[in-house]
Amino acid sequence: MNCERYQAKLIAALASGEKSLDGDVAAHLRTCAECGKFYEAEVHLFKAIDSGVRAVVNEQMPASLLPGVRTEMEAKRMAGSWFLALVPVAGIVMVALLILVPLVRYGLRSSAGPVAGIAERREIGPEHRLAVLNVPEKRGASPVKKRRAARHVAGSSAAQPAVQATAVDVLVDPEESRGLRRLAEVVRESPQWAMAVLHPAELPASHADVIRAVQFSDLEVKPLSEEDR
Amino acid sequence: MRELVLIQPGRVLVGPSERESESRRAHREFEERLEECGPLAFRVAYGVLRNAADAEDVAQEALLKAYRNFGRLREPARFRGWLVRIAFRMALDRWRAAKRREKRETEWTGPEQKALGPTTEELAVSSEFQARLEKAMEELPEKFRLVLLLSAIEGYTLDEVSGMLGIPMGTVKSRLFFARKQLAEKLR
Repeated sequence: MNCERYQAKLIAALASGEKSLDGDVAAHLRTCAECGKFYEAEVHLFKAIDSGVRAVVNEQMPASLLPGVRTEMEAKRMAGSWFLALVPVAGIVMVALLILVPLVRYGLRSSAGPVAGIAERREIGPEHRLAVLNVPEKRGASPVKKRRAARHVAGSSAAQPAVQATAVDVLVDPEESRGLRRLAEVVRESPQWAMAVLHPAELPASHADVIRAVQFSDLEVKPLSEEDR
Repeated sequence: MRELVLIQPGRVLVGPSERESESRRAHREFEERLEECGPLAFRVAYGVLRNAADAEDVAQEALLKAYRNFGRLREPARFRGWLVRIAFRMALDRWRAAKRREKRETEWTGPEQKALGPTTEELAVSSEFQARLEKAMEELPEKFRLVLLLSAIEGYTLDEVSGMLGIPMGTVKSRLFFARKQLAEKLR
């Protein structure tokens, strides 16, 4: 029983790496041969553990380790500086895209409205009084009839589910052009006008006088006369 | 003509050139520590993995991770301990992954492969005791294992291990005591 207690003390002393033993333990070792043998075996075991652990840990470092690390460090540093330099540029590009994309999209959508662009006629002559559409020119036809023909073509495309953008140039007189520009502005503000113009409703004769002339500052819009219908 | 710069309170205006000079300074500081700490990272990794190629990979990864985060280190005096912990953790992760892979392969190939045993070369390199010691070290709790490895590295005293890990000397001694005692119990 005593030996077990001393052996536990011996192990504790060796595990903690103490150089000398306590007085009572040393005295017991001198008198007990069995504990003496146990102590020698334990000293041998702990020395083997220490040398084994040292052998595991103190391996020579490969010469390639530090140059490899330095190369990687340099590469990362260069990549990092490029990245930092690109951050403001990327920010500017992003802001520009955020502004430009909606502008381009909505700009195109508004220019593709049902009202065609109107160009001023530079030369007045029968050969220039032609709508640049696939509208066959009728000799002697009035400008109103030509516009009606143009509207008919536009109306047929407007009958599709989505109104298609058409590159339509209509050559008209300068005064008419200004008036039509004003009309185009009004129609953009109130699209229901465009729908009414593109899809004229057939009214019974009794209701015809209900539609009165609508007066704009630059333009007068009247109901179509019987001749123009 | 003097230029007036408005600096908001609590904020420091850092321009790109200042940032670059700061990064250069950090690079230079890290470079100075590399010579001393490279071998330490490798030895800690080798202590866990016991394979030079794997330990080199882990040490390189650990050093690069430390380099990337060097700017965030508040106390540069703690660099060694920080690096040691990174290397130790990464080595343990790799060791565990290798063990899982080994287990899967053993299950797949069946018991015949297992019966082959170590080759003549393996027997020559590591004695039976060494193999048992390494296995016993693998079974040690992590905190005991790290202290045991660091205290066994040449050139490091217990005082330095204590400073490196940021723990009291008494804790280092007690961890070392329990580590050695557990190893002795397993190897007796």
